[in-house]
Amino acid sequence: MKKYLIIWKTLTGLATSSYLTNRVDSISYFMGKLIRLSFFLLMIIVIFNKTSDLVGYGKYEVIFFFSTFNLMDVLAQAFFRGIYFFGNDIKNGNFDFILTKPINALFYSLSRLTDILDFIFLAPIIGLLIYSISKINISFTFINYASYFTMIVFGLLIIMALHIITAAINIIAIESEAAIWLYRDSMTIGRFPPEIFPGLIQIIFTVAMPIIIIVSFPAKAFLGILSLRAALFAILYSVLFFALSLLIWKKSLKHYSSASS
Amino acid sequence: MKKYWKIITNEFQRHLAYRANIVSYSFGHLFEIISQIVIWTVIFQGTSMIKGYTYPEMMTYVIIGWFILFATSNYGFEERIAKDIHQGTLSNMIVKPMSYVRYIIAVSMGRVVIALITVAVIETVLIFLLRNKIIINLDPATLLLMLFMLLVAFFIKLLFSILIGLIAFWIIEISGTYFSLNIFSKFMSGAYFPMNLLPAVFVNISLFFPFIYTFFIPLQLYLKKITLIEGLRGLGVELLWLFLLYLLIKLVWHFGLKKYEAAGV
Repeated sequence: MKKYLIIWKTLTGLATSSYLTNRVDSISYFMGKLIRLSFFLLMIIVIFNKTSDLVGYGKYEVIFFFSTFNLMDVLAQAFFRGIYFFGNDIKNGNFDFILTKPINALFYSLSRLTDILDFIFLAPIIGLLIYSISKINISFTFINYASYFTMIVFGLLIIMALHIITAAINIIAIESEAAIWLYRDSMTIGRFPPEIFPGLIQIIFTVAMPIIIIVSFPAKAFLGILSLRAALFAILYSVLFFALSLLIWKKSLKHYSSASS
Repeated sequence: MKKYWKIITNEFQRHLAYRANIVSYSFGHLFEIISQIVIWTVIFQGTSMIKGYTYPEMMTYVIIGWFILFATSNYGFEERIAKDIHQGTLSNMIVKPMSYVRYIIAVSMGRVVIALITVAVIETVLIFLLRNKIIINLDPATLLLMLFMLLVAFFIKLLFSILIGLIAFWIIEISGTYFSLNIFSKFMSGAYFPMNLLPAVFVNISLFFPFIYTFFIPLQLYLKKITLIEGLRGLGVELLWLFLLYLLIKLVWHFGLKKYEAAGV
């Protein structure tokens, strides 16, 4: 465990140096993310100029859902950015070099690049979360915060599993970088409360592509509207989903053809 | 001209090998449109009009807009140009008897064909499924003008991408620059939501940039919110921007080549 922590710290240090070397580019990236966040916030404000509630949620509750979506998205980017290079490693046969390293290949592939900008970007998101919480007219207790963090942890477990599955698909299909983008695109479903979608879509995005568990469950847990049954289901689901992803990863390794190497 | 045609066909054939990837990308973008359809449907349950848009008009804006967005996209040529400059592969190109910028334009044209076919098929299915919720405008003059506007829009976006890519003559990393500029241009074009939902100042500012003419104005023409004459004026402004961008690229290329060190050759 200590060894991996040291490796992660080293990789993160290297990533920081890289971001600092390209300061202008890093600032541009950060500004881009900030502009995008602002535009979507503007969109929510525009929507609430025309309606007092969205499927029963008030403006600040919707902003809270939106902030939680951003939080999960940014955390995934910050920790698992390395997977975006995995497709190229497979195509060029560079995965051979990773396999020969005295380190878990999956750990290295997931965490080879820590997105420092996303860590910094957590600041405005947390600010937005605090702002929206302060505006929601409910007194929150320790239980709300604890259940929020618990659901976030299990949501991250699912996100990690999804990243592992996309890596496994890359190994099997070689030309399938689109898998990771399919995940990124489907995450957009989580920008708004899940109740806006018809029942069937809600089921699909809870069970088949668990975006609702990742994004909406933490927000609902915080607002105190997530049933205990749903919370237990989410915990069990995330553990099983993670185990399944590891199984798929192990199976996929047997298909690795070392193409181009 | 023959050599550029060959580049277009070669690139098309090369991309046939990655057709599954391209189709997956296009399907991935469907999630965004699903979100927008659902959100506006929910909002319109409580009101019949939002800032001059009825429900069918908003659905049309989303559905036809989705097609316009992807039909005029060129898929990341900024990175490719930056790579050519930084890895020195540009040297191979500048000694050949062809213009590098024209080469990139030809490659881009070959590349978009499969994506365009995929998007057109998905769009046809969407229009069929939502035919009762959207406005079908079959006026030949409007469609013809729109077609020209979209064609010019494709080249405006492509030249803009090339211009950003050429910044790589001066800076090492350009991905952050093009990421933020892409978000800015997408917003200014009205692709996130109709510009006129915002205070008038946003529309007034966006008229000084080319992006609004690549998305919002063609859609306003389709929705008959502007006349054919106003549409023609929009096309004129588009052509002016196209010319300006071309001149700017020529200028940047001229000074950029002086800075080029052919590192990595």
